[in-house]
Amino acid sequence: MELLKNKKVVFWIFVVTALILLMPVFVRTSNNNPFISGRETYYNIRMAEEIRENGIIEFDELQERSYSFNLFHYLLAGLGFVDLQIIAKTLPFIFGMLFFFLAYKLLKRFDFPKEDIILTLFFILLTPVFILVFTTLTKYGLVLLLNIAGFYFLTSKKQSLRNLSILLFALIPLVDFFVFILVFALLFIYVLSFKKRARTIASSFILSLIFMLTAFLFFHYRITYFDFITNGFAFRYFLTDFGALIGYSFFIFLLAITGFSFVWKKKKSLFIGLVVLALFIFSFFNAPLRVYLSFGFIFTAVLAFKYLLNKDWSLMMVKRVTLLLILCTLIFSMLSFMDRQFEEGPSQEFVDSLRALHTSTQRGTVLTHFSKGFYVEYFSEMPVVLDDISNQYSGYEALLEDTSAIFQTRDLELAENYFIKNDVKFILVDEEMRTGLVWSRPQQGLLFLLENSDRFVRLYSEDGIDIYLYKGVEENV
Amino acid sequence: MLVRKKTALIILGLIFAVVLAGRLWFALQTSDFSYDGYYELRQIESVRETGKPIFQDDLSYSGRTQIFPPLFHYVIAFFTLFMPVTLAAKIIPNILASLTLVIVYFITFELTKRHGASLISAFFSGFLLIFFTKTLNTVSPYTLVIPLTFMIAYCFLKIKEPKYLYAALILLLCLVLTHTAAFILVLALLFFFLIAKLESFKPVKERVDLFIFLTFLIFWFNFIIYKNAFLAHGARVIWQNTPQQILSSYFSQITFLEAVYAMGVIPLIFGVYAVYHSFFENRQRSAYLFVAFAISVFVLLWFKLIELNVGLMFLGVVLAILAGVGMKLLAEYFKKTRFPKMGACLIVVFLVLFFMTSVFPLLNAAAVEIQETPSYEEKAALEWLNNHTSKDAIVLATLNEGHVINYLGQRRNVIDSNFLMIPLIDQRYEDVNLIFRTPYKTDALRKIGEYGVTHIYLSPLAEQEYGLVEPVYIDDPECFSLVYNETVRIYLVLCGMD
Repeated sequence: MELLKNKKVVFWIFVVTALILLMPVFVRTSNNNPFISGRETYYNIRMAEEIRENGIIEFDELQERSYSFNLFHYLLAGLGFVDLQIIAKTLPFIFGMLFFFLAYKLLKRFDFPKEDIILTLFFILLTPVFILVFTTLTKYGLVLLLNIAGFYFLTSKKQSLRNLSILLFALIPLVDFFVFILVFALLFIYVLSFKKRARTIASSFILSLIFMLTAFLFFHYRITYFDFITNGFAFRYFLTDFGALIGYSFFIFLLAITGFSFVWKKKKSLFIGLVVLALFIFSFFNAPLRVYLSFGFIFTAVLAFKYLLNKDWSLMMVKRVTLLLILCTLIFSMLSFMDRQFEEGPSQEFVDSLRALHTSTQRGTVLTHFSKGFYVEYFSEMPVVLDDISNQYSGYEALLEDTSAIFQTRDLELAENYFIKNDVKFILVDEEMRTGLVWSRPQQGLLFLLENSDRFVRLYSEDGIDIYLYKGVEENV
Repeated sequence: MLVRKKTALIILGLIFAVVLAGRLWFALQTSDFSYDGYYELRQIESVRETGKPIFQDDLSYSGRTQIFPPLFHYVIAFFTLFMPVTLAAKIIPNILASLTLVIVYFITFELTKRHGASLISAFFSGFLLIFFTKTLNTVSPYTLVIPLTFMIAYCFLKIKEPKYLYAALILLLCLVLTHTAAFILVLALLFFFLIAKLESFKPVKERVDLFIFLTFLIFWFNFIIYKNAFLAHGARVIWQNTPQQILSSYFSQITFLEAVYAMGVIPLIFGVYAVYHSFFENRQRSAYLFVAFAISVFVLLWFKLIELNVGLMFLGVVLAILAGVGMKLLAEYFKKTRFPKMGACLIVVFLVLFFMTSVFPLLNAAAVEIQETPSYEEKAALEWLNNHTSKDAIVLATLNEGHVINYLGQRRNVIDSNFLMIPLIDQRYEDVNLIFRTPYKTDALRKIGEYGVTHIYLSPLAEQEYGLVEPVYIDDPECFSLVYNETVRIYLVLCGMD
């Protein structure tokens, strides 16, 4: 295809990438929702604000739990001259464009043919993980950028730039420890395969250990658990077309498998095959691995696409229609994912309810579903019983079990014991919780108590969001 | 058994006429349809009246979104321009289903180059018990899906000629617009290429092209149609969001022997013989396609990805084709022995056996099937519902009666057999069962209140399904008023738990 050899195509891909990365912000704003999407975004902003106010922190005052040093939060806090809401909207875009540019430069450096470069860039653009990571304020945006920049400088001919790569790779464990293991495993494979840059990578590894030790001694750096999902195995946790957030596009995955079979034909290495399979299976339960494998799949998917492009077709019409179908499936899959990004929380109505809660004269812990925890913490400035990172702290299993039981109980005494034990003052219920996330029937479990017991007062009720105040035992005596 | 082309075509025409006449004779004995057939009928009527099917359905599940490819309904609706809807819904599906035997004839001829063997295959497929009975009076989209699938298979065999490639492309478009069962074809072709790999032969270029095109067409099309369903149900879409309890009882409805019977004992024996011969004796590559079909259906059945009846229909047609190959092999084998006429004699014997084991039971099964329609008393009750209840009434009936409540009663139901896009379907299915079974009024009233049920429809079918004349709690006149008391009883719900 002549199009793939045209120089202007690269320019236009960059333009389209910029538009796509900016689109969630524009669309949400035009839908009267000025808030950037993503749960992690609000945790990151909250911690950055805390650091801005208090300097180095070791404790999360709001949630009353220890805080583990994260370079990403300090970076956000360090951009002190700009409002964090603006940073949340612009920084992912800047990271995304830099990542895309470095990917382009790397492909050029490795002398990929022009059409391969264009196809790879195009596939990166269609990868849901790329869209997610660079449209929300997540630590993966920074680690991916550090990673690609590190690799770009590592493969440079200039010693000074190679030295810079030492620093970049060494910063990764300060953002995410698991990614650090993954990246250095990949670098190790690189050294084994190409027999070069071993010294640079070793230096980087040593420097990263020094950084970790320093952070451990002076900044309360802790290695957090791998973020295993607790829900078990299901397609909806790793295929974006089935509802996953950090996952693979089914159609890129389909092409990737086809492409992998070509690689397999050329180099029948059982070891590589088993490693890829093991990584793939492990990725079902590990989000950072899915992020990295998503980008890995792009290379084999491009191989498959190129095969179809250059294949000797029996009819030109079949070729054209098939390639068009493939492009349509990929683009529709990406658009479908983006559409979900536009609809992703928090909604204006939800933020309104949390701001109403913020104005309450009473303070206390909020009981809601853990997936809403970061929003509640940020907008209402009140602690929650559980949030997305509660699993990194001791007592999580018991607390989760108790909370699940309380959501389903109609036993007022049991509920009150729990509320007193966990200092619960407010209960926040929204439509999503009522329709499957927690309950499936009206007046089920705690909903019955909230509606019928005089121990609860409805403080807020709008757009299907209700906030109840638990009056406490003493006030009823 | 040498039969000339012209004679073969005349015999084929006769078999077609007999099968069609048989189908129509049974189907036209009643003006009614099977319980599920009324859903298709509603869609066809909607197409005829408004030009589009009911995608936003106010009656099913008391309001829901329907997702399906609508070509079948448009095809039948087209014929309603020339005849009444009920007549078109009786005649056209049966004509389409009967056409399968013509396609089977041509496929078998392509594999055997023998008119006799091809006629036997056509005959077997025409009297395939499961296909005959399950598509007789149900207005089933499979009456279009199965001929289309095997027409594509035929084009696949002759794909070197460009006209068949074009035909395959058009038929593929029709198939994906008709039903999700198009996935069976993708899987069958995948297994075909795997067998090709194992047998070390290079597939024809056009076949590979068609496979790639087909795969992406089907994935793309279904992605577009079922996008929201994927997000709502995840991988459960593959099982059409069928409740777990129903899924787990898929194979308990039928024994192995009954399954064999449904496909025909003789086609099965000769089919298996042909498979063995294709793999281990003469390595007939074109037969691999149908072996691949059989494997794909087995796999899909194994994982409960298709209903048992549907799987058996496909398997039955495949076996009928392979049986023709087996018959030819048998005849050729005897030609090489000292008893060359023995082959023909044996075939006649097997045909007689087929009559005894398939055709006669089929007549009996068809006679039973045709009675699986709402009775006069049920229709009277449904008409009463239509005339004497509020348009907003929500009627609780059994799962199988959901569609007749919508079509004949014109009222909303709580559950029917289309589960896709229904949240918490397991819960709902259990709740409906609970309302019918529980002895406790409080439990029943709570569930009745949750689904806003205004009327309870108690038919002989419900009695049969739940093994009781009526729920124990229903004799409380303060809560339930008997408003229709014939063979079917209808209760008005007077109180709730809210």
